[in-house]
Amino acid sequence: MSKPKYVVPNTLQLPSTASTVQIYATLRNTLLAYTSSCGERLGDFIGEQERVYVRAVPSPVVFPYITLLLNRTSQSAYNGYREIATLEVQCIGKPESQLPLVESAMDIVDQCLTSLTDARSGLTVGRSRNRQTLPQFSTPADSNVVGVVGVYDLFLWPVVLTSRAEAQ
Amino acid sequence: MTAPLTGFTTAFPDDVVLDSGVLYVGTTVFGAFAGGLKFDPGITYRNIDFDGKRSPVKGLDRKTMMMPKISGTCIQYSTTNVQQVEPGATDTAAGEWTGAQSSYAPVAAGELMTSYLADVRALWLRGNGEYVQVRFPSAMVTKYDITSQDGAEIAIAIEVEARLDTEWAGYDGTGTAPYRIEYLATVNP
Repeated sequence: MSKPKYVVPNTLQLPSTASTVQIYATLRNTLLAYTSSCGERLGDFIGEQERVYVRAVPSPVVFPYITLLLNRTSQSAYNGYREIATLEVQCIGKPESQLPLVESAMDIVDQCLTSLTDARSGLTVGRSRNRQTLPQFSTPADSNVVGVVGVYDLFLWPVVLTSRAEAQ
Repeated sequence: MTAPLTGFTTAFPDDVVLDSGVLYVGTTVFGAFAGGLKFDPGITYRNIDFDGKRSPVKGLDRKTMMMPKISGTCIQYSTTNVQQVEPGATDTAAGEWTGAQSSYAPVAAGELMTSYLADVRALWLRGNGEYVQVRFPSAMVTKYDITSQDGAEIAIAIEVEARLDTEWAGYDGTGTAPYRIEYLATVNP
């Protein structure tokens, strides 16, 4: 029996839409590399440690940070090849004074993901989003936590479509 | 297992055309539009008739007319736009409303038009970050109307028709197509 496979840092071939893990990593790199029209980068607001994580933040938690959550839906109209990928981006800060940092970080995410056209592997396009600032929590939640949640509609043509086309 | 048939190739991510596109006049943006641009080459073919013909015959088609047109809905109305949708309109003090900052008089009916738009371009983004455009070397807005609406931007529906310019470098007789389809690496190379 072969050994189980593990993804370790720097082993993923990027950019790629070949797998969900690679899509996450590609989007993460895209966000971190993006420079806004004002010359600002995500790292200017969430720290140069590049605290962008998938699904959950590791301990010990350092604020502010960003988490990514991807939902992929294929469409029968395109033989299942075209997908609507909904990317939920949460930027969380603490204490409350980090709210301007959090909002500014999400402005960078907004600019990046609503102007995204990436054909380096398959095709990923982002044009629209829904963004909300979370209200102040009350007991038992921590009222010092601030957060902004953005939901981005991406349409995605994974690279698998071209590999299947070549087989026809 | 057999995968479903599709038309997708490795070139698809590069060749797919995205978004609504932008209308340019020369190297300048015409303005902001609501929705997409529509291009219709307006081509008419005639398959020559003869006694005993039972179906269109290969080799007997002739392109008889081209009426290329770009249409869309603009949501702004600048002084430049006025002169674009009303070819030849001039800002004149004669007859202006007292206090008006400018007063554009459309060209009088019955006169031959002399004012045309140069290089009207409907330009779209390709998946690979480059562009494809339909270009009218010479054109004019032949139809427009304005619709305002509550709580929304104005809607100016415009139709731009190509005109064959006999002085254009690409002119090669009256059958010359008055438009080109072009691929660009940048918007204004």
